[in-house]
Order: sequence, then C-alpha cells, then structure tokens
Amino acid sequence: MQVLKKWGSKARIVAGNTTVYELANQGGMDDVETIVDVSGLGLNYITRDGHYLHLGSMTRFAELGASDLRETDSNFAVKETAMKLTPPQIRNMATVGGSVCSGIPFYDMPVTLLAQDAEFHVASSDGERKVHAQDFFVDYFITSLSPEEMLIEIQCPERTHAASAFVKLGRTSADFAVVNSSVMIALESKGKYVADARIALGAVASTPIRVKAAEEFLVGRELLKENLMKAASLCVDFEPTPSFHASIEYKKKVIPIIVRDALLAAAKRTNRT
Amino acid sequence: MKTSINVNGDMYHVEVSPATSLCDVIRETIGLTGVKKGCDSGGCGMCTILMDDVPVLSCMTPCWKAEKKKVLTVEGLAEKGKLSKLQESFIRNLAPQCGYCTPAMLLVAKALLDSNPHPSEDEVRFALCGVLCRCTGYIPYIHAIMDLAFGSSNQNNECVKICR
Repeated sequence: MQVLKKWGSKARIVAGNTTVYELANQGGMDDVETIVDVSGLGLNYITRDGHYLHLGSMTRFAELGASDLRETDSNFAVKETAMKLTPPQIRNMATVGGSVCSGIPFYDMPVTLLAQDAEFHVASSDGERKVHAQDFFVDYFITSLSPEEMLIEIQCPERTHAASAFVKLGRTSADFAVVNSSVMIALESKGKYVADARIALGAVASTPIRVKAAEEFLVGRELLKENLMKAASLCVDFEPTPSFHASIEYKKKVIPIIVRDALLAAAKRTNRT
Repeated sequence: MKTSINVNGDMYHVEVSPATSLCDVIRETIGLTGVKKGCDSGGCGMCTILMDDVPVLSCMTPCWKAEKKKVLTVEGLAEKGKLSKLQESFIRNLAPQCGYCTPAMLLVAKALLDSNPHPSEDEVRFALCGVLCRCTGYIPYIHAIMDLAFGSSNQNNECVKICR
C-alpha cells in the first residue's frame, strides 16, 4: 500500500499478467514506471459463510472452475463464467481481481459479478472501503479505484430460492465475447413468482450494464417461459456499441437470444420452468 | 534486474528488464527455441511452457515471475537422450505435420496425463484447445494422447476407431 501511495498513477498492480501484457503490447503501459506484483499476498481463496461467497481478488480462474459451487447455488454463474474462460493456459494465469480491475467491458467476470450484485472490498494505506458492483465500473478501462487503491476481496450474496446462469457468444469459445449475459433469478418462498431478477449484459456499452426494464418486467410475474422470452425481448431498448466483429444491427439481433438462453438456463436451475 | 530461473533442471542467472517475457529469455538468452513466439498476445498457445507442472503462456509471463519455479520446455521431455513415451506416441501416430505447434501440444498433453492418466476424449480436446495448430491436424494429436493413455488394450476406444 505504501508503494502504491508513493508511485500513484505511475505504478500498476499486476496479478496474472495477462491483461497487462496485452496492454503493454499495444502501448497502454508507456506511462508506467513501476509494476507491483500482488500475486504472492495469499489473496487466493474461495470461502462461503452462508451469507456471502468470498473470493480473494487473486483467485485464479482455474481454482474457481474447480470450486465446489453447485448448479443449484445462487452463485453458480461465477463458476460457470470461470469454466467458460478458455484456453486453459489463460485460466491458470488470469485472476478474478485482474479481470475486474482492468475495466474492460467485454470481459466475462465483471458481467457476472454485476448480476450477482457483488460488493468489492478495496484497500489503500488510508483504510478500506466497500464498493457496489453497480458503482465500480465507470468507463472503458476506468473503475472507481484510485491509483493508490487495490481490490482485496469480492463478496457475492448467497441467496435461497435463487439460481444464476452465464451465456457468452464469441467467434470461438476461446475468443472474447461479442455479447455476453449473466442473469440471476430469485423466487419468492413458494417458488412460483419471481421476487428479484438481475440481467446484466457485457460488450454492449463502455461498461457492463444491467437492463432494468427487463428486470422490472419479471419481478412479481410467474416463472413461465413466455415471461422470460418477453423479458429477453425487452433487452434491446438501446444502441449497443459496435465492435470490429459485430455491427449494431447484429448485436441487437443476438442480445435477446443470449439473454433468453441465460434466463432459461437459470430458470431450469431453480427447478421450475 | 537480476533473476535466476530453473529451466529443465538447469539454473540460469540472467539480467532482464521487468518487462522482459519469459518466452524471450528462454529463446534468446538461453537458446531453447522449442518455445515458439507465435502471436505474442496470448491467443495461439505456441509459447506454452509448464511452470510447476501447470501450462502457462510464456509470452505473457514476465521472467521474474519464474523465479523459484520449475520451468519445463519441450527440450526437457527426453531423458538421457531417450524420447519420452509421449513423444514416441506422437511419432508412432504421425501426429505432427509442420511441427510448429508440436512442442506446445506435447507440453499440454504431458500436463494433462500427469494429472489425469486416463482422460476422456472431451478432456483431451479441452486440454488441447489452447494450442492453435496451423495445419488443423488436431485429430492425430488426440489419437496419439489416447493411444498412450489407453494403449493397445483400448482398441475399441471411439476416438481410436475414428482415427484408424
């Protein structure tokens, strides 16, 4: 922390190195004078206490993919996201914290953590603070972290009667997402009506976003296929940012399909459709 | 900065910049060119090495990160001039074509078989998915790995049947 304070924006934290090297190759690290390796701090752990799933920020995707989260857990999408990250070599290197702090809108994990309503524990030499996933992502490559701060832990609420799913569309399974979506559906205790829904999309704006209109549509309605399809169709009420491989029109076409797949998968995991 | 790395059991003391990749050091300084520098951005897997028996991409790993770790490249597979069983299986099954991806394929296959001696075909496919074969000759590699894992006792294995 002292080092970060001293060097400020001239220092860059590295963990798994994958994003940093990609950036360095593109000239994005030219103003950096010091790199601070934090992978040896013992921040790789996955624990559950009945209220929260705690992820150390240096947890590697390979460790997450091998964790004992089950499909019926409300946090399963976290494991699912890690399992969809290929190739295995990258999984052995890249960390959860790195994928979040780089602020890259087409990465997979930020989308899932947004849908999980995760809290980020951030530390600096002045103390600690908590940031909600909604407030964490600011713009391309920009998060609410100041240069002197570091992400320590991510906490995802564990919910009952809830399930989640992550679906990604890429050119190949090993490529970055063209569009990705992560959803969480919580049912009221009788298990018939939707009590809470979160639908997050990635690679469509400068940060991962939530689609409030579709979420609000689902809340209070019965968990039926028609309702899920309708909610998915409400997800294109904006102009997605085009990318090299996908135009606005194309993205508008695939977003409802990706969201539908995610919603149906999550609904199946609540043992009701 | 000065750092010491253990490659294939030999210690090398090298002077590097913090940004120097392990791939560059292994190729240029140490001279082991079995590690290929393909895309240099984590996309093709040619630079795969085993670091403490886990496959990682050396083009994205800074050299200092390998300190106190065991690095294995394809040159370290053969023992006392004798090819490993995996290499022999690759040759026997005519797995390599142009050979460019073969070092990386051997290493990911070794990591797979060391942790899981009898993998399913899906597990083999997943292990290989991070190594891009420019000849697209993936099937013979899968065949070679399955052949070694199950040997002649498994002639009925689906993958082996398809390949033959």
